[in-house]
Amino acid sequence: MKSAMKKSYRYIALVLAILMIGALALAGCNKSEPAAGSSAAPAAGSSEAAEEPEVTGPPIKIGLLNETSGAYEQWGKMELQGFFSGLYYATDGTMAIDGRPLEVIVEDTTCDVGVGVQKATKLLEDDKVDILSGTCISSIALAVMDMAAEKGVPYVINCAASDDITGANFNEYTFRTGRNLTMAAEAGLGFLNEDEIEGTTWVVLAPDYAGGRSGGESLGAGVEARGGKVLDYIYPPMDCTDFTSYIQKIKSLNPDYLCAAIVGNNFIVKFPQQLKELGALDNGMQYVTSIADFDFLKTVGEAGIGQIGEALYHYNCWDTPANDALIQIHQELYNGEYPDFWAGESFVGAQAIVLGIQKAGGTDGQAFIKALEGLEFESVKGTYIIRAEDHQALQPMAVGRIISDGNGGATVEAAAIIPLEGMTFPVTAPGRA
Amino acid sequence: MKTKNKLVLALALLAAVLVVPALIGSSYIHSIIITICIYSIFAISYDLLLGYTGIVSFGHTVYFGVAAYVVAFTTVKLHWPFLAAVGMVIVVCVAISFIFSLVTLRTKNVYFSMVTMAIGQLFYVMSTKLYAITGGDDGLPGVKSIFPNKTVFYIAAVLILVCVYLFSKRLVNSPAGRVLQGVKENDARIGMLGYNTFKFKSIVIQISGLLAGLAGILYVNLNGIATPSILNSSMTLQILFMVILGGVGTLHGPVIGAAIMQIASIVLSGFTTRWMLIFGIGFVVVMLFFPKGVAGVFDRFSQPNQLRKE
Amino acid sequence: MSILIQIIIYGLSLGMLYFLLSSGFSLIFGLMGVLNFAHGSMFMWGCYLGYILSLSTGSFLFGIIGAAVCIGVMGLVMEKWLIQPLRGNQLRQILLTFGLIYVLEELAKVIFGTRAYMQFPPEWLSGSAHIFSETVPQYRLFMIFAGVIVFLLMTLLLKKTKLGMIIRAGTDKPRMVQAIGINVARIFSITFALGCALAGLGGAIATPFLGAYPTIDMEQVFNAIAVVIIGGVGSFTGAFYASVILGFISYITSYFVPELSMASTLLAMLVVVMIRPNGLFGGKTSEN
Repeated sequence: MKSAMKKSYRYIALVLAILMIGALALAGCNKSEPAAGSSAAPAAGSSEAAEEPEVTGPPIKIGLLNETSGAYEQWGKMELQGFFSGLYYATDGTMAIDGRPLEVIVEDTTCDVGVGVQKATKLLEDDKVDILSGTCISSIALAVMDMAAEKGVPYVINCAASDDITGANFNEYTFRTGRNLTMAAEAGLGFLNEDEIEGTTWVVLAPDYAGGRSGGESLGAGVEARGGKVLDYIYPPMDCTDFTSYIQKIKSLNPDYLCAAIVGNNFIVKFPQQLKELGALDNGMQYVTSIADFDFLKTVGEAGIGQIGEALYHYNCWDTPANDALIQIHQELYNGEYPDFWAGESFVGAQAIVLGIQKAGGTDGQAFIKALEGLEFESVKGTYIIRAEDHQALQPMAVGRIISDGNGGATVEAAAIIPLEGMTFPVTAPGRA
Repeated sequence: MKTKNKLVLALALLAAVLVVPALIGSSYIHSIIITICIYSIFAISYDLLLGYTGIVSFGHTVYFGVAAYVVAFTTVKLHWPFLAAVGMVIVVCVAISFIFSLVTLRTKNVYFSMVTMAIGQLFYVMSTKLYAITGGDDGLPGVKSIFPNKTVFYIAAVLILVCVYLFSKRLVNSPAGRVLQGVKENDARIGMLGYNTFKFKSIVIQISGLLAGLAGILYVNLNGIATPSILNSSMTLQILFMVILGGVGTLHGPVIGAAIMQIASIVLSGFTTRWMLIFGIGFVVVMLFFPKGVAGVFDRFSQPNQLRKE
Repeated sequence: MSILIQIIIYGLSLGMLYFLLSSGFSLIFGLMGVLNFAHGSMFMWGCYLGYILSLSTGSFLFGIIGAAVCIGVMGLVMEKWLIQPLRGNQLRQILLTFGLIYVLEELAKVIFGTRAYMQFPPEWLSGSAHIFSETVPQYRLFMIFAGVIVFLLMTLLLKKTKLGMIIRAGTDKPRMVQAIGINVARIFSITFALGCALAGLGGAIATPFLGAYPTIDMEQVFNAIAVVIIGGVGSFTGAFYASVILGFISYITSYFVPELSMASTLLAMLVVVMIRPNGLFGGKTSEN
């Protein structure tokens, strides 16, 4: 009797499971739109468009690899929303270039390299996109850029930050409009004038991996070049949760400035918390670190007020027509949300794509490359120049300071803007310098 | 089901898998099939350990990941030809099997599982720490596929999978394979019968390690990059899920499990960003009610009148 | 001298954290033979609940006790519905807990989001203390204090109460305990709940130090495994000493040889396995 009951339990559970999966499958099939719902991918011709342009040619297909689900889904959302805002802006709301409508195909990488490669295969070989863009994850970008080059499809990277993308792994079909890690590290010093750095003592801290080490070294070199002295370089492991011993070392060195370079999610929250807890900031040491996204600001809250450092993008730091447009368009398309962090980068990427196609008169790969190399244009942070040698966009960078937003939370103001001319990092793409 | 009917069904399935996708012509579908084949090979190698020899290793992904890294490093940084890279993979996998064999001597049961998990994690840590060799968190990109296009690749992958399956089937049904199954039932008793259980276990560890390495070679050919994520404990869990879900100890179960997980993750992730939750729940349900996995459910249907083994 | 004080205080406080994390793990494994890989998830949920409860009630103590109780209840439910049905099949139980890792982690992301939460120590623990010219945050001393109290209370429980006696007997000779007619199932449930409650308490105490975020579960499960291996399964005192040792090792390597710090716990575990497979402090043999 008992085993018979158990048997029927099993079959009921099996049937339920099949029904559930079947329902999900039916609902989930044939979806090339982003899972975040139709609000994330606005259709062309929304109410703001002045008139419907006439179609004079086949659609231009743009493939966007996006972290729609997985550990970095927040970043994926930012990139997606900024990208569409950028397309909107660059096409004056028509979502068409020279009469050819834009068709954006968004595919979810799920933050996994294997899936990213599968989706890139789909976009490049099945959908035959004219331009590929997207992904925040450097390893996916590195894998996909080789594939895109093989197919002769230009690949514009907005967010993934590894130096190798426009460095050691360079190929002519890849462009990056976002900043790389070296730029980020050097920007960390930007809030101080040369004479302010002279004679000061520093400790540089970075996570122990290739990007962190090179970022830390660039920073240290920058300090020494301006007459400062680096007392020590400290490299905690990337997944470090207990920074006590490192902080104790820092306390015993007692520098004027502690600069935490290229910090990941792990460091950005725990490290300052433990710094404060151990009283490391009580001696007047200034803590300099990257300022991240809205979640970061929410987490550090009032405790973060006074922190200074490289700010990739915060809408409050920039006073340009493009930035105002980004804020306005983003809020219209996405329920009043302010653009966050990566949105400032993907907006520029989308704009560059449109400008490239317009200048090239079409989507031919080689023509697009020639159009983008050396291209100078105005966008969110001011003037951008896409360096012909390594396809890296040179751009102004902001140093932000966390201030109170008057509501018990935190926001960012620009403590300094490093102009375009200040970007002097070398070309590391082999054979291109 | 009669053996002859089973054979006909298997051949029909094989023909379908080989021909139909070629007709569809979608590179995306081809790459999904290749991925399923890769994970199937990996899962079969795991089933040899788990299902037939009773060795519960939670560090099996070491072979997979290290093989991928070896191929990436030797072909991209050292510019070795592909065959030389494969040779190196064989050497490395045998060396790693040696380490795991030693561990079986010192620990039993659950201890063994925990230690193998630690070894796996150690390799993961090394892959992120030794970034001069491994490229660190970003991985080692630049691996060129030896197959000219996805279509050739997927046909090769399916054929390789079939060979691996037949080979494994042969192995477990051989006299040596019977000894291994005996080891799973009762290690001590087999020892008392005069068999050198350590030698047998070492051999199976080596074979399954080499097969997992094969899967790793195919993986890096498909994706062009080796990243630390394939050495992570989450990869171990995924393979475990595939084997258990499909049916441990059956060899065709792991293939079913691999296919289900690939397809489910693609379909589910298009629907909701929290699809891992559904996976987890599904897995818990399977563990509670269907310990023999999907293969077990079908076996039940095909043997209605016989006494079922528990 | 200063370095010595640092090592003692910070190594000890980290060790206490490891103890709170792994004591439940060791207890459950020792008595029931259940390797609960979702133990790190319990710890993580303790972090979240401790944060939420302290914030909403304004009392830190209520937060940590409340978290412990909630996680204990969670453990009770888990044991009754998920672990007990699979009694006798160790492998299936382990595998089920693997699945639970995903479920608990995803649930945490759904409910709390993917961002990290920072919690600061309560007012009355935010100052610093002076120990031989070294300035130490009060909260670290609290962590040491809490760990020691829990150890003493648990040792009292195990050595002086009837429940404790049964647990110890059940750990050493499970079949005998069953033979004399004790309701083993109920003892198991209570022990499991207790073990989870300890993890929840540990998580809540850890939050002002670590924060609360969704990847704590996998980060900490390896530490728990290492403690059990080094200390020996089923030995509660072993878990305590092993935790302290591990805390010291972590701090010392990260201070002097930071390159090894990521691997130091794993290496320590492997070394112990090779020299003394049963753990440094006795504990059961691997037969259940």
